[in-house]
Amino acid sequence: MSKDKLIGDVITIANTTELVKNTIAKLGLTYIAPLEESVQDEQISKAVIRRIKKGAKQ
Amino acid sequence: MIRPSSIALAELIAVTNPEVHPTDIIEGLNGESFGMVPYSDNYRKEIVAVTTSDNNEHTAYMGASSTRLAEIITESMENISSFGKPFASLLSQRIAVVYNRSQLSRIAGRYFGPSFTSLDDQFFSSDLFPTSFENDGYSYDAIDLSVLSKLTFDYPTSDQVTEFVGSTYPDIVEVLRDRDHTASSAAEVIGNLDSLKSMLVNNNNVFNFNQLKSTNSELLLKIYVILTRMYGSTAPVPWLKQGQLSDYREYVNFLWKGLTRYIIKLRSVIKQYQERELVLTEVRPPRLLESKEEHESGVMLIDVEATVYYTDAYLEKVTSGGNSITEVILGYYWNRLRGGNATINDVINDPGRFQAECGAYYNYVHEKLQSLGYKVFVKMGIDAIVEYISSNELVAERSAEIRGNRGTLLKTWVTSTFGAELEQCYNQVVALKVGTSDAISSEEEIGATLTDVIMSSRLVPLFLRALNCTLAAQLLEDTFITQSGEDNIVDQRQRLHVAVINLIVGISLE
Repeated sequence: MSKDKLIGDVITIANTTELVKNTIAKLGLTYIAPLEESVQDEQISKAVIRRIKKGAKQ
Repeated sequence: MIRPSSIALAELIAVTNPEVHPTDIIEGLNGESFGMVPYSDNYRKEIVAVTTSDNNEHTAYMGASSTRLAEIITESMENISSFGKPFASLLSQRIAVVYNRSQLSRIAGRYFGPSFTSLDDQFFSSDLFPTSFENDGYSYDAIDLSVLSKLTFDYPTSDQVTEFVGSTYPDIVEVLRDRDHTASSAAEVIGNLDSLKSMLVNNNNVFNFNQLKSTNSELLLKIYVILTRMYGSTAPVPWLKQGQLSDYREYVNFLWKGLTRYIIKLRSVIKQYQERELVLTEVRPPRLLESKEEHESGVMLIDVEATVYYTDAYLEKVTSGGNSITEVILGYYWNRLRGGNATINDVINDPGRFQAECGAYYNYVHEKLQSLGYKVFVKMGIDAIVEYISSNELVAERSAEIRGNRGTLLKTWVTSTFGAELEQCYNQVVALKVGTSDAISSEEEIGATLTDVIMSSRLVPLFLRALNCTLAAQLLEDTFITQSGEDNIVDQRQRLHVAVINLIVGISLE
């Protein structure tokens, strides 16, 4: 994988992660349905990988 | 801004998953994530610097995008509250009627309304009972009391009634004391034709005082004491609101004389009955009547209106054997209505035999209702969904739009869309009802638990999808529908959090 491709993918996934975290904060889920940060990161990671694999199959 | 922790997480994924395809929303953010010069090998720090610099577009874009997404997700959650929960609630109310074993005795006895009279009741030996009546030429088997419709009474308090009777005689004071019936309610019966009809044999407003109906000794004696005072008093009762004195006199005269005959007759009958242990009198012949409830079609129930007179000794005999007098009597009627030749003497001698007959009746009703269960459940479910859609303007509009494209009738569409899922839900409900019939006694409790079952079935997401509330359906599925039997609020909240993560990732990546 080229460096540019890797950086592009890292930025895409990092932006997705930030969008998830910002939206969840705006929804107030950190208060009504809190998850520990490490658990949240793990769930984001799982969701992203699942989505990438699903996209790859299509 | 993009934080170092997000870059670290992203890098771990990106190195092993090369097929990353952003959607437009992430493409927009990506467009604000690069600086004027290409990233070097030190790109991690450079990305953080570019996206966190003052007045950068990335922060503004992230703020706007997350706000819009939060609005969309909030709207989806509101759709669950606005459409999903009321839908589940109505559905649970309708299908709560679907049979479970805890409803058996109530259903089996629905048309069996016996009144029970203890032959050892002390009221029947009261000195207040009249022993003779004046022969005024009337037979008192057809007395028209329509004159009561010309009179209007207020509702007196028990104190007002007691004051009107004005007696200090201990037996009368005792009779007027409030127990199961108040002096006030007894006075109300005297001034109300419908109440009188419920106690006395009648044909419209024409009463037969020679035929027994009510054996409610407490109420009869209260009425008799008040009426005797009304008959003997020169002035009408203070709670007479409207009417001619002559009409009042005519009414009180007939009712008092009629009631005097009635309770003399009652007492003489009771005296005869007291020599036996158990007597049944029927207002009309017993029969097997098909249930009038739509969801119990074809189930034949014992229909009889009877008075059961029993001695305390017989009651003791029944209950000491672990039997119920009501069920023993039901068993007796089940025997007779099925062509049996049981007599009342058999019931007196062997109550256990008729308790077993009652068990046979219960088994018949149980098996019939159970066999109707699935059919009734699906029909009730479909009717409830049609009812919910029809009664909600917005839902009806959305459903009409969807069906409009296919030209399908509402009920046909509901049946084809929800039929299979209702079958799945039925299995869950049966499991719930069978599993909890001992613990759950009231229909309200069953209804509340059913709502939970329906919320955890695929019916509500299916319904939301049918209304094009796709995100709401997905949130609900991910939050409430679990494969494991155990669930709790903490787990549900965590699943909601994860459901939202999945939703946003699904919107962000292709």
